[in-house]
Amino acid sequence: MAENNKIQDITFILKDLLKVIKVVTLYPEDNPLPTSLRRSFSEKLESLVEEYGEMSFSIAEDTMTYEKEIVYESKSKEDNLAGIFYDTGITQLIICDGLFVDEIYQFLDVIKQYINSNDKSLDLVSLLWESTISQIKFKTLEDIALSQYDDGFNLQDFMAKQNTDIEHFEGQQAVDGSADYEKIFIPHGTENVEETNLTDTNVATAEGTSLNQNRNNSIFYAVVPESGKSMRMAENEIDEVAFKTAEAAAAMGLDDLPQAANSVPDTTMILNESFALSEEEEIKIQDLLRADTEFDPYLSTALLLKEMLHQEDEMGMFYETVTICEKILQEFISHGKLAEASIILSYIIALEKKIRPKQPLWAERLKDAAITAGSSERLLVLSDALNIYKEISSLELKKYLSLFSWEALNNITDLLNTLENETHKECIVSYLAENGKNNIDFVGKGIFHKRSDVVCNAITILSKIGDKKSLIYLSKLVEHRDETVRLALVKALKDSPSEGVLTILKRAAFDSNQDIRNQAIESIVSREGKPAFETITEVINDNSFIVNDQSDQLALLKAYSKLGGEYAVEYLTRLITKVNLFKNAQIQFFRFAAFEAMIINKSDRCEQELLKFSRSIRPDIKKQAQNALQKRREYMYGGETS
Amino acid sequence: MSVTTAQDALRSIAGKEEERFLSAFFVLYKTARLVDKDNKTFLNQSEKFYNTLMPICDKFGSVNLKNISGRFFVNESIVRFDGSGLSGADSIITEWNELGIGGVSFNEEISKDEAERFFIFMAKIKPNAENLESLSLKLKANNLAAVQLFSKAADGEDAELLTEEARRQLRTQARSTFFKAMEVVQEIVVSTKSDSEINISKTKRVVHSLLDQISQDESSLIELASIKNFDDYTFAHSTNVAVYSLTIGVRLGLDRARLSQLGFSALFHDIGKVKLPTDLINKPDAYDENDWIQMQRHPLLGAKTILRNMKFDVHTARAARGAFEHHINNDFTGYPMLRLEKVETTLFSKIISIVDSFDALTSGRVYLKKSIEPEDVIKKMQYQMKIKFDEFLLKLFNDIIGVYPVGSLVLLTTDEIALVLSNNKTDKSKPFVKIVGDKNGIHQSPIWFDLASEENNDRKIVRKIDPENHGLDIKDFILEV
Ligand SMILES: [Fe+2]
Ligand SMILES: [Fe+2]
Repeated sequence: MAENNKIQDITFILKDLLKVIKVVTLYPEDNPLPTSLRRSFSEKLESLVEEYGEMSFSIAEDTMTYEKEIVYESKSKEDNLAGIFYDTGITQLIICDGLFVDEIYQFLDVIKQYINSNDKSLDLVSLLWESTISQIKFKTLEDIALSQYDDGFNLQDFMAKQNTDIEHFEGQQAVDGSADYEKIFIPHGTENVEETNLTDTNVATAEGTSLNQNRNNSIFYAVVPESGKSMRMAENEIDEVAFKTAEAAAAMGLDDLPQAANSVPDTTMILNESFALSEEEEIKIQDLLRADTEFDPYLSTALLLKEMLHQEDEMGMFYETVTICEKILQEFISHGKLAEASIILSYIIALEKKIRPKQPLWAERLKDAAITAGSSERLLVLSDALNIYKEISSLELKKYLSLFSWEALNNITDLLNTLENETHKECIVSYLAENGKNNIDFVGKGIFHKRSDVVCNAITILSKIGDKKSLIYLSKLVEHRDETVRLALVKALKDSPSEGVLTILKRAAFDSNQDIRNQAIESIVSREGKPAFETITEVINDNSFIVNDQSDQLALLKAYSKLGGEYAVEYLTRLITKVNLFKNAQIQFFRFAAFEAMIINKSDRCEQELLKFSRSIRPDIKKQAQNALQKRREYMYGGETS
Repeated sequence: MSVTTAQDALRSIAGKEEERFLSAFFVLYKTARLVDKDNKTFLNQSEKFYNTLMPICDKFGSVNLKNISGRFFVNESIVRFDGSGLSGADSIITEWNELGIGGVSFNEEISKDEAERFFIFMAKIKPNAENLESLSLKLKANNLAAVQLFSKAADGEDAELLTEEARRQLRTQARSTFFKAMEVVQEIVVSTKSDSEINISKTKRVVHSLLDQISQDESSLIELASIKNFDDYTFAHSTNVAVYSLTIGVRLGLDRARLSQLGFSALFHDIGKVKLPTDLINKPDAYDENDWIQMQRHPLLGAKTILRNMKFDVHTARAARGAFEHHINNDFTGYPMLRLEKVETTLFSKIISIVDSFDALTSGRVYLKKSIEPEDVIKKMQYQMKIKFDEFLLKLFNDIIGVYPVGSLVLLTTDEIALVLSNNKTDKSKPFVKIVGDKNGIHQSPIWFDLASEENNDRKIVRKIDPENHGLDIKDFILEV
């Protein structure tokens, strides 16, 4: 019964653990929900450990087992507590007696860091090991693999493998009569040169000539057992390499060792104090340590790669280095490190220019790398990274994009199909608008996309470029099936520098959607000048003007009046004076609209005509004219008019 | 109550009973710091503690708990804890160190109530306002005569407190860790040769275990690193460089994350050699200039291998720098020559550079036929100070190696031959040794001595012995359990 309770308690606490992990990883730190849940869970677990003592769980792909009982079983791929551990290679999790809330918090923090981090290189095992949690222990697949070495490694075999040059002593017998051994006990100074003493030992070169006579010039004392014998290499020994002693010295970086051996201080005489670091030296070491905390793996590697690009003297090897640069560049991008990726890519580009005159083939490889960086496949990685690391700034992104040439425009345009973040999209759009002028076909193809948002982005880019070619593309959208696209088009064209947009706007002014029509007119009006006036005139003269909605007609007449100034007055007066014997509603409306339009006409001629109308014998016209005159003055000399 | 010192010789490895006692001790101590006397948890834990205390008291009349240089002893037996240690013990030990407390003793008359009062009392201590004397007086005033506090042992006294048995266990464990690391290096080499994937997780785990070992007992691993005549020296060399580097790293107080990166970098520092043509490596003749140019490519090849064959992360970034820079001196001599910009080498590269030179020169295997004695290497390296190596790091390394480096053979005034097992922090001339032979020959079972202790006053080191000159193989002594 008690045992049953135990299993049940453990089952519950594991469920809770999954829940608390989900909540802590989902909510921000300051949210009260994770805070309280974390606390209640930790307290529960603490008392459970206190009650039952150590608990060890075997971890499988989606189960956790405690004393042969399955205490956790995952129901789905997404909600899998066992999986969190299993995926990182943890096969056993041990919760030890003496586990307190503080360490449980720490444990949850590590898991949170692991799950929430976008850094794909983090591994839970290392994070747990690096944290100082003492009462939660674990075993991994690697531990199991490593533990097999314990059995496999046989010391005796190992020692037997040693060459037999050196005699092995086995107890006392072996020692008896060994002259070499007895020499140990001859008082020092009375025996022959016995210790490897730097001052007394012959120094040999590989050629076998003693360097003794050159002692003053010699730079390094390579001690050999017998001078004159050339060094022999043992087989299969990677490291055991014989060559000139001077070079050996150079190899060890000891080539300028002062030669006077007598002046070498005898370390055995060094006082113990000399081993201890002084306070000053401690500070120096602290400085070194502090500097090291600034180590940035990305920056470090970017700088290293730059140097490595200069290290190869042979083309094949150089190509290999470039390939490595490409690999790392990709990894940086996928980790969201655009600034550091920019360092690598911009260096590839700069170096290409620099070496092209003398090493065209080498330069070609670099160019290839730069172009490949802008390939659709590579940019897909960028897009994925941008969607994960929303915090990547526009500046960073822009800087990276600036490293691409026209070849990448097509693929950069495609980024707009996959990016999720608005800031990033805007950044791409403005990049394409700035750089797409000569490659309208690349940046303009977006208008054919089936997704409206992609089409809208293309509109923004094309309207910013605004040249003839881009307008041809844009004009294709006037009849786009999606209203949002058409609306976006008329809005975007408002600020386009090209006059050619008026043709498109004119067509839009007859759109079936009123918002779009209004926006089109507004866009035309906002452009001012003669061409705009002409456009409006054309719209009004168009046969379809009569069938337009009244609010459109009013808007158009107003636009016409405003843009046309004195040139518009004549037409407006014609609308007013048109005889309306049978109280035709349409004629009446046009009269009203014409008066409304004259309110915002600033020309003197308008004023004169209004004055004339205000003295009209037709009471209807007279009244409206007086009204309009007053409103117009308000409009022109102060006060607002609607 | 009298204040006794913790500097008594210790005997053996503790059993489960002592382990449980120690664990319960710290759990209760920590609980007392967090809650009040009548808290349920506290009462529970105190019950547990008392239940672990009494059986030992019954057996020995009292329970003495001592902390000596981070190791715990219960009734003179060393209590072993795997790696991660005890819950909350760190902060308690830090406080004890500040107060000068080296341990505590409970005698068999202690009641549960007294034990509880003791923990509550200890938990409320204000470290700045107290010292061992004042605390002892207060304990007395509080009617806690059944509990005594020990004073802290002075630095360097720990060596002698590790008994032969305890040492043996640590050495066995060190050996297993060391050889695991060597096996992993071998796997890395094989993988690199065939351009197949290198098991990074396994490498990291092996670094973790090296580190766990070093933080417990650095001498045993250094002793193994001092064996230079392994057949598979290539693998041993990388392992040695990792051991020495990590020892420096631990002394520098690097955090665990950085230590893990340092050990990882060290294991990979010479990986570029694997990529050199086999006939160059196996060339029986002396190297000509061209060969040498090839050889000098190994740092670059190493960096390339690491960056190409492994997933990029902080470990590989560190390792690539380490491989590339480990032959570049502080004054930018060495190789490769930096062609773009003279960027200062990283801390890790500086560390690896020092220990790599040391290991290569002492082994005599890398570039020279004959090995050079560690102290001579250190002498040489000291010459290079300021120019070649970082002088401060070198000094730190010196301190680790000492006058009689761990793993070297020495002759004593008593005409005995001894193997140096660990350095004495305060007096480098008096290490902890194991006597392996005398005029009559090699001993079947060696005897362990602390040359710093009073009773061994007659045993002094005469000089170092080069084992090879006398037909001895140092490996036999080091690997012997
Ligand atoms: Fe090297
Ligand atoms: Fe090396």
